[in-house]
Amino acid sequence: MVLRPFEDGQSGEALQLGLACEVALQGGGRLLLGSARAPADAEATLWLEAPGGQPCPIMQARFHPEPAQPDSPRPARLFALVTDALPPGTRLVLQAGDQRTDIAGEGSGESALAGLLAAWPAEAGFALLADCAANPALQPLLGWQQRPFGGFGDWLAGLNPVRGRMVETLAEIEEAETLTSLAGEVMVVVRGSAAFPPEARLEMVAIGQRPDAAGRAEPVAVPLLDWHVAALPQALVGQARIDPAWLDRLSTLELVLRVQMRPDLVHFLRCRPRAATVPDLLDSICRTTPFAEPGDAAGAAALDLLRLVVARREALWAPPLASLAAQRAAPDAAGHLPRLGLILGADDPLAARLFQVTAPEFEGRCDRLLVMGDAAEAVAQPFIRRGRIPVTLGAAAVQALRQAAGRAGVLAVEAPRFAAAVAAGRPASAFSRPLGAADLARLLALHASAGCEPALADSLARLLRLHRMQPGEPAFLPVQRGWSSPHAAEVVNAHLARLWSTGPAETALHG
Amino acid sequence: MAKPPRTRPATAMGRVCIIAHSHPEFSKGGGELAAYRQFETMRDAGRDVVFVGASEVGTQYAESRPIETVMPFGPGEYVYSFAGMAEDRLAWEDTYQRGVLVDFLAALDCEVYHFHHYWRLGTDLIDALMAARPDARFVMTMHEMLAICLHHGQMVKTRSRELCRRESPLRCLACFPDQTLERFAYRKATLMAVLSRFDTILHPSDFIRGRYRDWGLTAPRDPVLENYLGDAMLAQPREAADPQAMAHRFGFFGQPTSFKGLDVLLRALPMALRGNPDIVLTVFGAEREDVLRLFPTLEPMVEAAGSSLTFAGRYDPLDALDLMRSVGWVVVPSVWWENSPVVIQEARRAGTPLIVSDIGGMAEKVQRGVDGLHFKRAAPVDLARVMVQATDPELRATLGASIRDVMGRAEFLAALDAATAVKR
Repeated sequence: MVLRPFEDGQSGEALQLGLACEVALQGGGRLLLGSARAPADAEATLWLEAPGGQPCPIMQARFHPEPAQPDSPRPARLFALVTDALPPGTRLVLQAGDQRTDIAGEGSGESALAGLLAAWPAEAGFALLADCAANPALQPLLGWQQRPFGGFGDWLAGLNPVRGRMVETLAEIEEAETLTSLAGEVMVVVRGSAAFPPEARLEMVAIGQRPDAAGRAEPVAVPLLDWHVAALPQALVGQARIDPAWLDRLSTLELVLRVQMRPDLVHFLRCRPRAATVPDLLDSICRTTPFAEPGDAAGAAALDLLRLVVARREALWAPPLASLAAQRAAPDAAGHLPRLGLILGADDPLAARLFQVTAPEFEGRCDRLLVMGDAAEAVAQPFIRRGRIPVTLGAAAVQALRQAAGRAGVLAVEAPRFAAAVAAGRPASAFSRPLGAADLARLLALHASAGCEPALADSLARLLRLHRMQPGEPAFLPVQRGWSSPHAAEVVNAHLARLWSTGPAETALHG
Repeated sequence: MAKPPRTRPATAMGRVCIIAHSHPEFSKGGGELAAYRQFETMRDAGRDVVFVGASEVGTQYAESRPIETVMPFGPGEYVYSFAGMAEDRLAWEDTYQRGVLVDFLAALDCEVYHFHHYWRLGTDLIDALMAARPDARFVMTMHEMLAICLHHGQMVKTRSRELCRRESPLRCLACFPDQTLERFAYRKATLMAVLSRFDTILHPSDFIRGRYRDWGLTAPRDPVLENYLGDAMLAQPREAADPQAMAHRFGFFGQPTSFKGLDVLLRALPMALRGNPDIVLTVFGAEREDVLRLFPTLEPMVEAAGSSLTFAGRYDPLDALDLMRSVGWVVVPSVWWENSPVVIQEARRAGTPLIVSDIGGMAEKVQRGVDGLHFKRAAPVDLARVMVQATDPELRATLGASIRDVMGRAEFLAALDAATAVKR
């Protein structure tokens, strides 16, 4: 490894090399943390030398300038080296020109890691954390010593925590809004009330905890599938994707942000992202702080970015949604499966009266009943009192619906539509045809990619609307919420409408 | 509660249970009076009949002390507390009390359960009783349009007092903006689901039958059967009055609620007096203070009417025919549709012609030029015109001679038997 000359170093000085910490990694590798100092006028090289003079490969190396010390006029370079293996007797070597110094490759163990990271510049901790996310061999660094986030615990504790989205301690930054969606999307929007400098940069590392086999929380750095950053006049916007399989296993998720306002001014923020619907997530791009300087340019730039993000999402989601819609159009065997009744939109306790007097309509059609909605408990009571079919509600009902794919045909009924059908003397017309595995897979994909409400029930109601849609009817009902602007609402609703209507036309028309 | 013993030999009809939203002992609305008169008439005709009525007294008592849900109230009569019902009295919140009442009714072992109203009875109770007694026949007599209209079943718009001719969720939302479209849908569906299951729906007027049909209630048999006025009133003689002495005497009978149109009549009175100063109006059923409390802006009209206006206070329904014979005309100025007002039946029984609003059950039950005169609903000017016209003794004599009597006992029982004999 080549160390560039120290800009503020002095020529003709002796080489200095120190190893502060050596940590064993998963699979026999090693992490070596230390410092090196070399003359300013010479290019220095750092390497590991196995016994017999053979170089020991360094898989990854990072260098950081040591903070200026009052008693040390020559700042050193801090280094973090990762090797796949460290044979006994290996030496750490620093050479500049004809000068050479070397030390033993073994140092003090992992107990020194936490203190070292906390003492080193925050940049070093952030870089190492990012490496943990990229390199599974480094993951154990977050779990050592049975303390939260292991060797990073002290370092993380020293970062600026963000409560909600308000940033109170930094003058240049007013908000750091972080959101995640069911599909594993992460949106980071760092906002100021004045224009950010052009050199402003944003980086992010996701960390979290997931239960291990024994049920204990295991801290992890979460790998990202991608990461896109864009600069707006008064904001930095980062968009990432986490593998949903990862997200599902996490019990907590935090984001560590590195916000570089200028080359000499970097902030590190520790945020807990909010679970958001897709409209929430996308609208955050266009939102501004209450004290933001108004400007058409800022709004136009945000809308341009929103359109870009939307296009990226459609490129990602349209193919699988089209495929699922095509499967939905094929006949399936849901009609022969056990019948799972589902009452959606049970939001008003008054609906319980209706189900009290129409319960046999469900008991004759279903082997089991799920009830979803704000008033699910009240609406379920008539069925529970009668005791003819088992009833599940709330989160358990959502879980049961997710698990139903392929094992039950779902007869879905929207409570208000059922009321209309009963009033018209045709209660049977309110029941959907049995939804099968393909329908439920499509539902889950639509909920993840284009869900408009946190509740799965809302997405199911939208899917049922697609199934019964007649020519001339809108396929998608726009989302009503406190949008940042009517323009953002238009872009996002059009995007959601495209995702919801992805698939063969006959799928929607002949559901 | 033990099943009541059969006090009479079972007839071909079998035992009938009449279930009403009140007992006339506690309130004297047209519905409960009709229900109770049916009970008395059937009992006196030797039928095996039981009356079960809601009790306001028991319900109020239940707010502070425990009380039995169902209590005996006389031979073949029971009252029940509806304290366990929801505030709108269309369903039960206390399912235990509902169960007690259902078990009691089912144990009566009746062949026919004849409901008068669903208010204070509950759709869930009716549903449960139907499930408990699938072999029985179920009959309902409609007394107003509560299922159709949240505004006390009046089908009068809440803000403008305009008449409403058709229900729909959006129309109802205009009257009740604090409600939701879904709530209207649930309400209608619940009522429709239960009412559709009755074997027979009896409508006291063709008007109300039309409203329920328009609403969608078409499944059950739905003959029109006028409420029976009762043996006591039918037994009274019908005597001709002196038209010369009576033509200028007008009477209002009933409580001064905002729907009964007494304010329309009191506004019309000064104008009518200008047309004929001999006109006198007597308000039966309310004191002056009662009226002015409800309609304070009418005080100048009341003052101006002077001795031409008298408030006779509350009256005993048993005295109604005599009181109606003391006036030349009975005015029914209701601003809502009405169904089959008892006052109209009583006036026809008494032989006193009527002046009524030209809408709904009033227009149907008072045939213009036969039973009385019509005026434009809620129009004091037109009512004044008709009142002046009515002071003509010749007109009073003509209508006094042509006014039709009400249905007799035998006719009523035969129609009732025919209507309740068939199970769908």
